Amino acid sequence: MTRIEYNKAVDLHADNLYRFILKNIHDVEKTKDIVQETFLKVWDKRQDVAFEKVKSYMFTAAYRTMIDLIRREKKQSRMEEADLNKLTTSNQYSDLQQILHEALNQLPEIQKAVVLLRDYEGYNYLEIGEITGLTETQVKVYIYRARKFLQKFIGKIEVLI
Amino acid sequence: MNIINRHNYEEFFLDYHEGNLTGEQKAMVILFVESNEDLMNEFYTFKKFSLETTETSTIEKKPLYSGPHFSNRADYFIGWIEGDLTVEEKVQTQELVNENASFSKEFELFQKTKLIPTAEVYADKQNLRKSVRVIPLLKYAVPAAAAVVFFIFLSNQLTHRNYFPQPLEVAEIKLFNVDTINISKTEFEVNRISLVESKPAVQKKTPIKPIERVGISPPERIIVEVARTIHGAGKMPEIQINQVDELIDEVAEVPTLLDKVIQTADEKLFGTSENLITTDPMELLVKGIEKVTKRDAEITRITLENRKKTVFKIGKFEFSKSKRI
Repeated sequence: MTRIEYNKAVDLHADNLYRFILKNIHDVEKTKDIVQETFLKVWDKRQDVAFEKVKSYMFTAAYRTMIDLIRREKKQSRMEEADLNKLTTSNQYSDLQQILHEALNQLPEIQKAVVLLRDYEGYNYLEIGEITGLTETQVKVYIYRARKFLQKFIGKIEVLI
Repeated sequence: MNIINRHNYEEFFLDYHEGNLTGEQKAMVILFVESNEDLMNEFYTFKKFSLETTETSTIEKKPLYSGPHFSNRADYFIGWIEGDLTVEEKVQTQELVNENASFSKEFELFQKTKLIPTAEVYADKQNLRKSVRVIPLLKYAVPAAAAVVFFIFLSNQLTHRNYFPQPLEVAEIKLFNVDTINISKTEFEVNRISLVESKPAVQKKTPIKPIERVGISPPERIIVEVARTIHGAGKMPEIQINQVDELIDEVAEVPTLLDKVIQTADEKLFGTSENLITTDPMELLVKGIEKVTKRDAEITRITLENRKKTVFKIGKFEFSKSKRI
């Protein structure tokens, strides 16, 4: 990858990468750190990374950095199932997407990540698996579980409202 | 009873086959088995542990069949929005929704679970970009610029040396051809041969050594005669046409004109006439030009039907004159 291609990758993917991490950890400064660290890695590895693969490489590197950060801060308290019985809700929702993001924040980290990669970046199960280190089947299971939780959350909020 | 998971599923499997579960719990077990295909065989293995005869098993077989139904409809609804369903499965799912009005709302809620990307902007993008490093290149840029300047200077010098071996300012050589003098004063003036090679445009501020200017003036006798006339009259003479003709006639009678040309060329251009093998003033002129410019010059004479044409060619410059014969 040339310097020009690297700069093009910055223009094309920096916003998406920033959004992906920010939606996961909700910390602007830490998100910026992860994005900068990720692009440093990309620059260091530019000779080995083709421009066509750079987005996937960036998301993989950023995801791993994020997981390391979460583990260091011991935020990985819910890696398996979301508990609808413990969901917290607010009655101050302006639209459906706001409700969805509220629900998203209550998902386990891994489910949140795969749903964001799926809906925001349009990755397929295999690509998400490559980024997150999961099998294709595992990705599908996590996405299905997340959808069920989100659907029930929306339904419950609609009942409350 | 708790929710089934991979740590407690054996208990649920056993209770399922023993008929100890409610309808909702059975559905939960079926969903779990479908979501954990690796436990499918184990699920059936538990069936063998049942003391009940298989004839009266309470297992709901329909949920294990392929296709959407009451228990697995959520998976098909999700499969629909994820694009995982085949055309046939889509048709089956749509039929299921159509047959059960309560499923329609549920299906609609699943469709709402798709996140719409938000527009987040990473503000420090410019800091991520990599620009060309300027400072290290400066140490190469300065010598490179100097080299270019030197090359241009050298090229200029070489150009002048190659194309203009002798600095040229003006080379003007006038030659009065004796053949034309008898015609008229106008033709006398016109037929003089003048070679003027101006400075080329590419030659700029290079100091130029002026070359010798070779000029052959009208015969001195004409000037003397004019001066005598002026002196005698005490005023500027009014030269009439007939007087001009007289002057021309007088010039025509000067027998030493050609000799004067040769002598002048010899003295001004060559210094001596020893090396000259011709007395033709035209050829002398060519040789003089070659001597001054150090470039090949050639003379061509062409005789046409009623005109005679003389062409001088010096490098890319070409001069010609012609006269009626």
